[in-house]
Amino acid sequence: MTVSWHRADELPPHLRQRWAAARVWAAHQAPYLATAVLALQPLVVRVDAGAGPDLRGFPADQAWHVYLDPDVLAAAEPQQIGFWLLHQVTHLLRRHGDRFPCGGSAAGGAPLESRTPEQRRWNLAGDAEINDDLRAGELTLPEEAVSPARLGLPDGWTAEQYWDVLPDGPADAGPSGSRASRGDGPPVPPADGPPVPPVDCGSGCDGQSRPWDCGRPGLSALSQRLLSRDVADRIREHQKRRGDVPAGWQRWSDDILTPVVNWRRQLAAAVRHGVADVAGRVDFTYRRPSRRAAAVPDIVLPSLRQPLPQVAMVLDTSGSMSDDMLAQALGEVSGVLRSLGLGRRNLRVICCDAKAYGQQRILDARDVRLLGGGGTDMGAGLAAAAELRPRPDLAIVLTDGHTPWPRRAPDGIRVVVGLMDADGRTPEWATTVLVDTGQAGTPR
Amino acid sequence: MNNATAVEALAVAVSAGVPVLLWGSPGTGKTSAVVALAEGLDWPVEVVIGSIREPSDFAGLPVVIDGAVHLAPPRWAQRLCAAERGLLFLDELTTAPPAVQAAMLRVILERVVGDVTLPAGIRIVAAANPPEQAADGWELAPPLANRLVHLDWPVEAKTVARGLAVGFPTPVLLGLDERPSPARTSTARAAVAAFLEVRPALVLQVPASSAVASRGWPSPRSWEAVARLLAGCEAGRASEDARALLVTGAVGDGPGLEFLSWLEHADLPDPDAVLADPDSFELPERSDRAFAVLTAVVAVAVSYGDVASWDAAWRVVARAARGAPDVATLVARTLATHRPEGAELPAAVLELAPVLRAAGLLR
Repeated sequence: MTVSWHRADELPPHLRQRWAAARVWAAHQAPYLATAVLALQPLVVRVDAGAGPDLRGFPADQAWHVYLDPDVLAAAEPQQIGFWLLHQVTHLLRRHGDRFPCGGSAAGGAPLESRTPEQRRWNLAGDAEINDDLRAGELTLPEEAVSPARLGLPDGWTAEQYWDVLPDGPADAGPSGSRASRGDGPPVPPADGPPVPPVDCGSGCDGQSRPWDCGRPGLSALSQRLLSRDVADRIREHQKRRGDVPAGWQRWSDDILTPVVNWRRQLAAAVRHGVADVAGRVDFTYRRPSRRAAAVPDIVLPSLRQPLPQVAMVLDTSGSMSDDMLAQALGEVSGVLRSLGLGRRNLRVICCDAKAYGQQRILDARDVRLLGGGGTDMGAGLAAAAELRPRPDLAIVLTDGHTPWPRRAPDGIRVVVGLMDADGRTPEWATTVLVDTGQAGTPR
Repeated sequence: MNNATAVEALAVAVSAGVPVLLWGSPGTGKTSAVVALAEGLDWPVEVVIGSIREPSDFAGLPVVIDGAVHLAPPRWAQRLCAAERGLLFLDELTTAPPAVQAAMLRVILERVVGDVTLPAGIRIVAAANPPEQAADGWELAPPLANRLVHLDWPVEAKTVARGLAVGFPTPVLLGLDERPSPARTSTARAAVAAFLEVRPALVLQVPASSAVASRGWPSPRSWEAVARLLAGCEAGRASEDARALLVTGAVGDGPGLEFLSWLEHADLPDPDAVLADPDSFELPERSDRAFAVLTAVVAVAVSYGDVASWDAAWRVVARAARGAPDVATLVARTLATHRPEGAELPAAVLELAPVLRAAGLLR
């Protein structure tokens, strides 16, 4: 089979008009995806002999080429073509090709004549992630399109979640076959006739090359990144004006525009800086002469110093704090302190709700007994920390911030606050790190 | 992003004389890539590992001679001073103690080691492990981070497999012999200046959190580095992706991408010029770029709100409809809903009807 590619201009006028109408319809359905739909570069695929490849789904590749079969184009309604354009654009924007769990092994190899079971399963999973967002408009899905409902699964998952629960290697019979083998969810056969074989969404879906891929350079990696940001901006704007963007798209644009900052890293950095600032570090100093200086009288050598600071941890144990949140943040902090060589002698913990409870010396975060559970006043906790002897150099406060604070920092004590609630308030004399313990649990 | 792009970006930065910092896990071939780069050029290379050095190795060893303290430069600095061209590779930047980092800062910024100054032909490359991978790593201080172009060093199974079998590729310097011409340099500086005039907020953004601070952030100094890197990319004919890597590495992801998208749209026709002379308007080939131009033209015409510019915008749309009826249709809807008083719907609307009807959008 020899494949040749032609520009869309070479199509007969009625097909060209159908293609234009499909793009207009798609841009009308999801105006925020208009630039992305227009960025798809159409290539008409012709084969010299025999049956052509299956291009019912208007497959795209990762360079943003979309492949057209004139016969499919002639048979489909503009609405149906428009649906597939939105669908393929979503595969590309959400980078399903890079997310393919079995990618890498066969990457760069020769295109296979038929897809592996993994590729089919990932295609189903990706389609399920996409189509529940597309359906949220007034779209009706074409009969060969997969949806979570037709797989007997809930809406709103990511492709990875669908991948995990879909059975290994669904047979060529497609979604209906796999559904039967699962045994749950009502089987929804297509409206008429035999089950429709699943649609191949091309290399844009799983990153594995296809026989019809042209391999020409298309949209560069940079342009793709800029396009993603542009679409994300448009989604946000559209949501502000009209408020009818599907939830999946809103999540996606938030991910693109406000990358998640890892609170573990920030908290570790703040604690490390706090310890270093009050204590000096494994660092060089010219303040005291080096012990080796006697051997080389002409050379001024630095000496090394590492005083260990006293650290007090003040834990907010009021009713508004959950033990689980506290345990996670506590684990991070104590891990950092241990890696800095602070032992039991240097670390004390004070639990505090409206009043401070007695100090505990601990070795491990799991040893902390959480006392209290009433109202909140972190001022009491800090005051208790200031009265400890030996006096602490650094106080680490883990709180939700719904508490009064003293007007000034306790004398001679540096304060780092791990804030567990974005609405909480912290004083400006403390270094604050926002700890979002929920974020680790939400899959992308 | 792949390894070849990172190597290309490294080569451009070295050619342009901008200090560069490679971020990557231990054992991923950062050092060997830099050494190979120097060997390919037949340049001397000095590998200085920060974590096992003292500040005096960078600030000079204080020696008392006749009652005055001289800062004696170490041997590696003397060797580099003797050479006209060479590479100074500062390894393990983040695992060095802060006093050593501070001393390295002066080397990177002012090229001063002890009492000697490194010649202009010496290029500086640094490498570091991400803080979460180096157990005893420190975050990079913001002033030091700002002086470097940050490049992530990717690990690709494919590259490693091929490298083990047939040898790792040697980076080739691009455009080194062909110094960026003054014209090229001033064009690049003008582009950066024009962008900063549009977005003055991006001139200086001191990072608030320390985890972000250890990467590139926008400041007048890093924007100047961007201009030099752009000129270097032009001279070396570097790929678009390498250029993107360098720009985002110098000023950070957000400002960098905004600058790049501004650059991409900078060569589109000016909407005012198009409205002034609608009949000579040429539609860009790529549909998304055509859409961008037409959207801008329509937005400008709508904001003027007078009949003359509305008519001119319709003539632009009508011209566009011949080549790309769908793109024209998309913007025509906005234009039609903003008809100023006294204007008549032009005949061009009728040309768009078939597409709208086929899409089922025309009542």
